[in-house]
Amino acid sequence: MVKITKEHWMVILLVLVVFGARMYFVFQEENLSYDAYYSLRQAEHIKQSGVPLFKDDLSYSGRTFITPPLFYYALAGVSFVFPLDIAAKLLPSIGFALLVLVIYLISKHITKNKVASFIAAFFSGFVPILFTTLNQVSVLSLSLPLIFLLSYTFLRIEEKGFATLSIVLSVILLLIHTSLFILLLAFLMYFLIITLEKHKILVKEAEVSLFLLFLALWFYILLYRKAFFTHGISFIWQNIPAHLLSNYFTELSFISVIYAVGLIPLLLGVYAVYHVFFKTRNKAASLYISFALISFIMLWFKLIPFKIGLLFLSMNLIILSAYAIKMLRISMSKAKISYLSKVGTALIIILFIITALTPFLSTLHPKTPPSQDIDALEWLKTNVKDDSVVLGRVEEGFLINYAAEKKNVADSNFLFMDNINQRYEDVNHLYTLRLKSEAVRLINKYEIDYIFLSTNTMDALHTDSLFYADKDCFETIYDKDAVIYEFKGCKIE
Amino acid sequence: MSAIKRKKVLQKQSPKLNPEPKKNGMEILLFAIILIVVLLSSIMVLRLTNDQPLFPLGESYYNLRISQSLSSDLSLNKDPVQDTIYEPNAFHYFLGLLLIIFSEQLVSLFLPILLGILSALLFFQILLLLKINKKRAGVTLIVLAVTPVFLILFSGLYVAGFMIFLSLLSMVLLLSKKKFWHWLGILSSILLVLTSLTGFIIFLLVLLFIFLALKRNIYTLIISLISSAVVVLLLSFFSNYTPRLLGFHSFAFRDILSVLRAGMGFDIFLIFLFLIGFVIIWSRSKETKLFHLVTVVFIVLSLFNSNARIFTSFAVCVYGMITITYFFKRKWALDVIKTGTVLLVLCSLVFSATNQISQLVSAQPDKTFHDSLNFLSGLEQNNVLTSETNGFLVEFYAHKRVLLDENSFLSKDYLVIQNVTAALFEAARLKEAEPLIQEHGIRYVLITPEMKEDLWEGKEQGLWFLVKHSDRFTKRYDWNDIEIWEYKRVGEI
Repeated sequence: MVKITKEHWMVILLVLVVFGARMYFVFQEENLSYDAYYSLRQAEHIKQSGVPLFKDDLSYSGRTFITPPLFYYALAGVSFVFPLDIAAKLLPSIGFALLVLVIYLISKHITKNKVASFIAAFFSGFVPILFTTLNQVSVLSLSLPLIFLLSYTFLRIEEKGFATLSIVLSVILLLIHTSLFILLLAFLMYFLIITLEKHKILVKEAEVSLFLLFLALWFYILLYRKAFFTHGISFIWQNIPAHLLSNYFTELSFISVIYAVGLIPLLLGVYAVYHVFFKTRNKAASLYISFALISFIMLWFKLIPFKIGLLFLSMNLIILSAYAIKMLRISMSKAKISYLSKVGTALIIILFIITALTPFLSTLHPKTPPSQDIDALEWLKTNVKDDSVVLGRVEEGFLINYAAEKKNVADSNFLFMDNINQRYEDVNHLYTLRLKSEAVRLINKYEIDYIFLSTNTMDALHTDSLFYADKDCFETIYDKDAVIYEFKGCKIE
Repeated sequence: MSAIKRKKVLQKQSPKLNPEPKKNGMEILLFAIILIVVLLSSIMVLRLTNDQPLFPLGESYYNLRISQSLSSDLSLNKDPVQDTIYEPNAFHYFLGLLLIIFSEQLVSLFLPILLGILSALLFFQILLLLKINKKRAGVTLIVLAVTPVFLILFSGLYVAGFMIFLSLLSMVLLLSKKKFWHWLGILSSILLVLTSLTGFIIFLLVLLFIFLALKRNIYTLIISLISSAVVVLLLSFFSNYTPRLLGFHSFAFRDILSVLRAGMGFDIFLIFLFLIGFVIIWSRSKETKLFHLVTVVFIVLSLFNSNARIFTSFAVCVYGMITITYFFKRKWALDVIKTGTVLLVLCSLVFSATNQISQLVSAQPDKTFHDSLNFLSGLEQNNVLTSETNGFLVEFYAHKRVLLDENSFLSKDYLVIQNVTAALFEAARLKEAEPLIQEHGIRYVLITPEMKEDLWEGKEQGLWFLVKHSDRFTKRYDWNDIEIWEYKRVGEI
C-alpha cells in the first residue's frame, strides 16, 4: 500500500489547481474554437454508429477523412456521462492537468529533487503556449501527456514492467496522433548524443526504440498510404494552401519562443543544456535535450506545425529547467548565506510569473465563433434542404457542418483535396468580388446554394453585405447580425 | 563394412560432415525462386483475370511492337508507326529473334518471368562469389523478390530488365575463373552496352569494385571496356545508333520512393532495413569499409538516375538480409520485442510486395482503355492527339501515330512538340487549336479520365471544352469516361 505523503498531496493539489484554472478560463467562453467542431462531429458519429467518420458527405460536399481515432473515442466516452460540449471542455483540461503530473515524475527522476521538480511541474501547468489550446478540443491534450509518459517509461526501461508499458503506450499513441514520430526521432538523436558522451546504450533501450520505429513507420504508412500517393512528400505539410502555409508553419524566432515558453524556462533550459553537455553528462537529461533539439530542428525546417513544435519544445525546456534549478540550488546552498537557495527559488518562481503573465493573458482569448453566427447556422439547419451547399470561409467550414448540418465548400482539413490553392482563393474571392458574373461563375462551379456572411467575416472585410448580391440572383433569407443569402440559380450567358 | 555404409556412419558421428546446412541453403534458394515465380506471375494472372492486357504501362508494348517489326525486317531503321528514326537496341533484336521462334503469347507470358528467375540465380551466384553463404544468399533473394524494382522490371518486357540480366550475366562470366567464360562475358557486356550505355557504365563501376574487393586482375574488365567502346563507335558511325546516357532526373521524392508511386523506386521499409544493415556491417568489418562506402556513393547516384537505382536495389537487398539475419540470430533482452520486430519486418516486406503488385495490377491499360484503343484501331489511319503516357499504347493497339510518346524526348524537336501539345490541351477556342491541329495532321483526340483529372482538374476546360462545343469535332466513342473525338476540316463536315 502506497503511503500518500506531503509531496503527493502537493502534486495532487497542483494538478487540481491547473485543472481548475483551465476549467475556469475555458468556461469564460461559451463556444469552442472553429476547428473544435470537427472533433465534436467525430465524437457524435462514434456515439451514433460506433465508428469514426471516415466518409463525410458534408465536408467539401463529400470527402474521406483519415485520422487516428482514439481521441474521438475518448471524447465520445466522456460524453456518455456529460453533455458533449461539456465533455469537449473537460477532457482536454484533464489531459493537460495530468501533463503536470507527468512532468513532475520526469523531473523527479532526472533531478531526484522534489522542489526543482515541483517548480518544473508548476511551469508546465501555466506555460503560456499551453493556454493557447483552450477551447480547441485539441488531440494534443491526450497525446502530449502520453508522449512524455512514454519518455518516462523509456528512462526507466531497465525496471520491471516499464518495457511492456512503453509498448502499450506506443500502441495507444499510434491511435491518437502522429506526433509520436517526434519522440522516436528524439530517441535516435539521444543514442547519438550518449554515444558521443561515451555512455553505453542499454540493450533494452535500443531494442524498444527499434521496435517502436518499425511499428510507427509501418502503421503510419499503412494509414496514410493514400495521402502519400495523392500528395507525395508534401503530405508532411498536409496539403495546406500556400496562402495559409505560413500560418501553420511559421518562421521560428527567438521572440516567439520566449512568448510561448516564457523567458525563465528558456534561460534555465539553455543553462541545463550547457551543464549536461560540458559538466555533468547526465544521461536522463540527454534524452530531453535530444527531444528539444529534434523539436527545434523540425520547427526550424518547418516540418511540423508551429504550435505543436512549440508545445514540445516548451515542455522539454521546462523539464531541463528542473535540472538547472537543482544545479542552482546546490550552488546557492554552498554559499555562506543559509537562506540564499530559498530566496533564489522564490525569485525564479516570481520571475516566471512576471515574465509569463503578459503572454499568458494574451492567450486567454482564443478565436471562437460568436453566438450570433452559431444562431444563424442553427437557423439554417432547420430552414433549408439537407443536401444544400453553404459557402463559408475556410475556418468556418467545420462549424457549418456541425451547427447547420450542411455541406461546406472548404474547411481546414485539406488532405486529399485537389486544387486546394484554387479552391481557397475562390472561397475568399467570393467574399470580396464586385463582378457579379464572376461570382455567379464561381458559385455554379462549387454548386453553392447559400452564402453565409458571418459577423467575423464582416469585421474582417469591413462590410455588412456582399457587393454583387442583387435581387435577381440572390435573396437574403436571414439577416440578424450574421447574414445568409440564398442563390436563386441564375447563369451568366 | 562397405564404403557407403562407412560414410553414413561417419556423417552421423561428425556434425561437420553433415550436409544439412547445404540442404538448408538450397531449400531457401528454392523457396526464393518459387516466391519470385508466384509474385511475378500473380501480376500477370491478376491482370488477365480482370480482362486487362497482360503488361502494365506502355514500354512493354513499344518493345513488343518494335521487336515484331524487327522480326520481319532486321534492317529496320524507322519506327513503322511513328515514322521516326529507330535507334538499334540489343533487347529489341533479342526479342525479335524470340518472336521468330516462338509465338507472341508465349514470349509475353514467359520471358519476363524467365529473365527474373535467371537474374535472381545470377545474383545468387555473385553473392556466393562474394563469399556470402548459401543460406544468406537465399535470404537475399527472398528480399529481392519483394523489392519494388524487381517486381516492376520482370512484370513486363523492359529494356532495363534485360539490362540488369545482362549485367548480372556479364559479372558472373567475367568473375569466373575459367578464361572461356571471360570471352562470353565480354560478348555479353557488348550486348549490354548496346542495350543501355548508362547501365553498362554502372556495371563497369560495380564490377571494378568487386574485382578490387576480390583482388582479381582487371584485364578482362579493360578488354570488355575497350571492345564495347569500339562497337559503340562503329555503330555510331554506321547506323542510327546514338550513344546516350539516359535515366537522369532531378531529385524528387516522387521518383525515389515506391510509396509515392515512383516508376522505379525504393521501398521505404527496405531503406530502413538497409540503414540498419549498413550500421551493423560498418561497425563489424574494418577491411571492407571502403567497399561499403562505395554502396553509399551508388545510393547517392541512384537519387538522380533510374538505372543506378536498379543496381542499388540489388545491393540494398544484401544489407536487408544482414539486418534480418541479425534480428533472427541475436539474443534479445526482451523476447516479446524480438517477436514483434521480426513480425513487423516480415509484415513490412509483405506490405511492400502487395503495395507494388496492386499498383502494377491497377496500372493502365485496363479493359475499358483497351476497348477504346481497339475501337480506335478500326478508324481510318491518321494521327492521334493524346497524353504522352498513352502514346505507346495507341501505337501498339490502334497502330496510329501520336504526337508524343515516351520516346519523344529523344528527338531534337521534343520541346517544340511538347509546347504544341500543351497549347492544344489548353486551347478552348478553335482559333487557337485549329492551326496546330492542321499543322500536325491530327485527326483524332483521345481523352482518358486521367487526362481529364490531370490536365483539366476534372472540369470541362481547354481542349475538352472545345471538342464538346465545336461542330468541327465529332464524338466517335464515349464509354466509361473515355472519349474519342474526330476532327474534320471545313470541307469534310
